[in-house]
Amino acid sequence: MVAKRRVVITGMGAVSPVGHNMKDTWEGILAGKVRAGAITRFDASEFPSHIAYQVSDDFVFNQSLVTEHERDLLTNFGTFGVQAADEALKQAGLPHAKLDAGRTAVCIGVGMGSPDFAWYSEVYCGQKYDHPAIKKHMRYYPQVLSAVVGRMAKAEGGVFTVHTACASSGQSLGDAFELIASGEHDVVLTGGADSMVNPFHVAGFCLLGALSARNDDPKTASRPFDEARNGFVLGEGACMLVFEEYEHAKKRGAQILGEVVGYGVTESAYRITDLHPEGRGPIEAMQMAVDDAGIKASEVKYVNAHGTSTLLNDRVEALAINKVFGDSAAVSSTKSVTGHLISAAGAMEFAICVQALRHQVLPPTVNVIKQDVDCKVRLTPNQPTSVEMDYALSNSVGFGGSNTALIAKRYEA
Amino acid sequence: MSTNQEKIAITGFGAVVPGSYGIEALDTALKADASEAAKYDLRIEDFVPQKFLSDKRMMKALSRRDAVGLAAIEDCRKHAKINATTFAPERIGMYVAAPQSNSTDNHYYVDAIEQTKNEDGSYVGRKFGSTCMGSKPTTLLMGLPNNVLCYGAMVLDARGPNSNYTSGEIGSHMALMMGARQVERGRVDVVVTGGYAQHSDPVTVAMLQSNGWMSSGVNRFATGAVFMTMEKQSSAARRGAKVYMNYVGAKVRSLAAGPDFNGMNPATIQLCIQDLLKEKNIKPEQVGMIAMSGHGFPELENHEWTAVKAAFGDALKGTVLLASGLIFGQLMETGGLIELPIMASIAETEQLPRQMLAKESATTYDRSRPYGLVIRSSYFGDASAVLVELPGSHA
Repeated sequence: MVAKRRVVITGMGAVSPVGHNMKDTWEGILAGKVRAGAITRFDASEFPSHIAYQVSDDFVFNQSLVTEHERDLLTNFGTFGVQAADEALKQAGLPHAKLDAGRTAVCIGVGMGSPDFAWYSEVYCGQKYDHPAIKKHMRYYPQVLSAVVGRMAKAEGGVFTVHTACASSGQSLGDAFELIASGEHDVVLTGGADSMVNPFHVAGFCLLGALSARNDDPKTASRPFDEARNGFVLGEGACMLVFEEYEHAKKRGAQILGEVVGYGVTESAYRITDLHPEGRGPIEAMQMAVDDAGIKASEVKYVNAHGTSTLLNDRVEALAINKVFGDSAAVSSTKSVTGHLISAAGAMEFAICVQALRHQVLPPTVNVIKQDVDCKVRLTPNQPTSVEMDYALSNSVGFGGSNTALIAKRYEA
Repeated sequence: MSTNQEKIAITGFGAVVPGSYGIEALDTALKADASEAAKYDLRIEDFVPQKFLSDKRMMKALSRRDAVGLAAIEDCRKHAKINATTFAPERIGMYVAAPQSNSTDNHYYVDAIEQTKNEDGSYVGRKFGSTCMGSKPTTLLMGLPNNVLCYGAMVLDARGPNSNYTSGEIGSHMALMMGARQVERGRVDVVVTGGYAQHSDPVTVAMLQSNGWMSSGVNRFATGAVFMTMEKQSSAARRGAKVYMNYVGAKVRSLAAGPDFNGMNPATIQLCIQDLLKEKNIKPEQVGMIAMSGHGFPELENHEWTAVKAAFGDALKGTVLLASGLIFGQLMETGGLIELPIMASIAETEQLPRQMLAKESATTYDRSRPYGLVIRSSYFGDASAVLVELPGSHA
């Protein structure tokens, strides 16, 4: 029997299109505050889809969190990640707690990042490799953000950077869970950060036909499980959580927000973008998480679906959820409120599960005008609903076929 | 701190590295003299992935970097003698170290960018929104950092636990460590783990040179991929698989000083080594082989050597000291892996690859010292170490 230690959550932080901290993000999700609109980061008017959920322009990055050198290297989502990490660490009381730095790690999912159009046209197309902008090209390395938050967390136990597209932070959280459960570390700062709201990634998704082109009505464009859904809407942001070994947290008197009890991860091994039509992959991931938690599927009362608002994902995911949970779990996709945060999605949605358990409330379903008959899941009501529940599960599915499922448990002291 | 005592066996390797296209070719590379080794193309321009991969449709979807990775996975599958029925798909895991996407992944947009030009030669970003729609539809997918995980899983029908690390030089050791955990946990019967790398694109090279981190005219970045299979000893025995060595453990550490490219120091590497040996209750004098990076970045090489001397002291006497980068270049995410089949070869044949030996190395392998240690370090202040138990030891 392999040792498996208990893993709890002692801090959470977020920067999202809904709010610039965890409290505002959570309250905005409960209130269904949809802030989708036209892309303003660059002139996207000629793209087939030119809408997104952006972190609002009044986001103020606390520059004192980083050195001047780090500031130069951080992209916009890097600043989201740093701020979210700071909030999580502060809630966990970690800047001041005396930890064994060798048993503290960072494990985060970081997005692909991209230079802007001006860089490509001026530097890349002209092969101007002596251009001053080349010197700072390191800012597009995913390890940069990881290294900054590694410094913030004093993570001498290692800094892990994960990328599996939309499953990135589902996997980084799962890896963090494993690192603590196995005894390797006592504290892991985990989560994800991303923004693909740039010309080249918008281009890429448009070419794949993945984005909703409901440009005239951006606030209802992301409508997971609705019969008229026609693609996802990009979001951006970051969510960071502090995972900690239970006894370690208790000993130092940390506030425990919830517990991570099960992790399932599979590969669909089918196609790079499409889910297997019979739900192969997500079914096994959810079942693995349930088995890992040592509970019955019927004990999970809320599933935060990956729910991207694409025709295929939602239909197949609904099938998969049904297969594992039947009608016992209420389901919602909060991407209708946050947008698709890509590498940050898994972390954000797991944090929402933790909040749902803490407050004993189901996040509302937003933007489902008429549920697709092929998406047979019991959606949560259109307003926040009180419910007694002990377990909630967050699903993430990525391009490339990785599927993750994480189960949170309500913590009672 | 697993309470599971069963050893984890390494039962196969796949490799595409300079001088060795396929694991079976590695012995030839190990025997090469200095003049032969100097001819190895670090960018493996003459490597033909199609010789390893038969799926033409898949080949069209892959960048060259990804094709190299996939070729090594296929090579590993054959070496480990895994076919479609050896393991149940949901019991095969994959843990991969991958390079981050780079600017050349958007190369298919160049025509679309040029089409936005005005008569005066200025580019108009707004127009890219429409000109881009004539580009290759799968451009975004070509640059996904998890392509090799994805296509490798399809080739192997590997549907079990997985992850993908974009953690630079120590990513491969992270992949080994996390993959081994799934074997220990009993969630997989076998894990295919490894890494692939290609960093010789002109933008990356220019960035490093402009910052003074790589000498102008000297580009030691190599293209390559190495993968291996790990399974419990009982699984290997049951299916008659050859055990090349046993995985004992791995450790990662960080200076945690932020993205300061000159941030490494020997103490972090030394701690990493000592933590691992202590955890596994192995004394320095039991380690018969140590592999350092030797990848052509002098400061890191000096830090590693300082750390090894500090951690091992007098026990270094009689230790085989390898620096695979002297032959294979800086393999980045692939680094820290090729040393394992090299150690297996030394343990089996007792022949040392002369061109890979560090100056202070012993010239013979002492079988009474049954462990091998591979260390890696990065300019971001990360360090890693992997410990293996070598075959045929007389401890």
